[in-house]
Amino acid sequence: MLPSGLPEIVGDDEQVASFLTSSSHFNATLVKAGAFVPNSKNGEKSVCRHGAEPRAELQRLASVYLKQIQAHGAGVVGADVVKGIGLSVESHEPPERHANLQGWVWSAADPKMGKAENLERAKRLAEKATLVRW
Amino acid sequence: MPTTLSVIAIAAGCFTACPAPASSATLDTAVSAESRSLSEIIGRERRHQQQSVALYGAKNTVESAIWTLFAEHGQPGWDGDGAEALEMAAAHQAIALIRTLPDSLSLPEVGVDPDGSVMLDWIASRHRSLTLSVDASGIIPFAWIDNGDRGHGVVRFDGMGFPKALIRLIADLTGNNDAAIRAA
Repeated sequence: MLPSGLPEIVGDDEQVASFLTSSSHFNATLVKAGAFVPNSKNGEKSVCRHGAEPRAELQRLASVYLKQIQAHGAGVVGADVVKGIGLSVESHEPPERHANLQGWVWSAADPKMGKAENLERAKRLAEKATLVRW
Repeated sequence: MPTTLSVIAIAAGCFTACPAPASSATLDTAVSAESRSLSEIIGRERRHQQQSVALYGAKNTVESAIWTLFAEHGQPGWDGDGAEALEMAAAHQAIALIRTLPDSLSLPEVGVDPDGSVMLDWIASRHRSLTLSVDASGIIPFAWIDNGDRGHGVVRFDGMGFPKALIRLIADLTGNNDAAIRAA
């Protein structure tokens, strides 16, 4: 059991939230791929193990994760969707409820094609994501 | 089924060179030199952009959106997770690319990639869209989804002509098929 009380293994029935730190990562109706593109330095995408509700708790967690940076909302997607496109969700606390999406493509031989494949995966996550704004 | 494309599209054109570093004028304000420098660069780019309205029409709105994006993401760490600052050279390259987009095609929404590139999204619906990630290299990764179909690839852009493979994709996804025929 993790300090947050969550199990170490992320279940298929859980949801994960990517906090929207750029207004360019969503529009009036949907989350864009940019919200799920992994960090180019560590090859991971940082997420929070939380669904769209309760909204106030999700917003509190955003402030814990981002400190001075303001989130516009979150893109929420099922862990089963993440796993269904060949990525894994690995718990990584602290901060509480934190996890990383891992398994992205990194090719030294053809980094641009690897980037393209990661874009496709990010788009598939965004396609299934729920936009939460506050 | 997923598809992978590797396309080379050669062109030349009006690629705008990166501006010289802003001068470090000493003003008696509480604004940091770094912020002032960034403001000067953005101001200069906006003036240049206003001068190009007559040449590029509606595309100018996209150019303006890119500079707004640059202003908002011009410092690293904007995502709280180590994101790179949006690169000015990437902004210039994205603008050069947009200027070669056939007028009959839809204009994209703009966004920022955590690696400092500019993202361009053509979104017909949640299930039909194309995304490019443009940096200064001239090699552009892209991916699309289309109601269960999907794919990714790379195209080359050297500033002259919009990559034909992308014209076809945009036309298919947004319904501008006449544009693809004219551009072919």
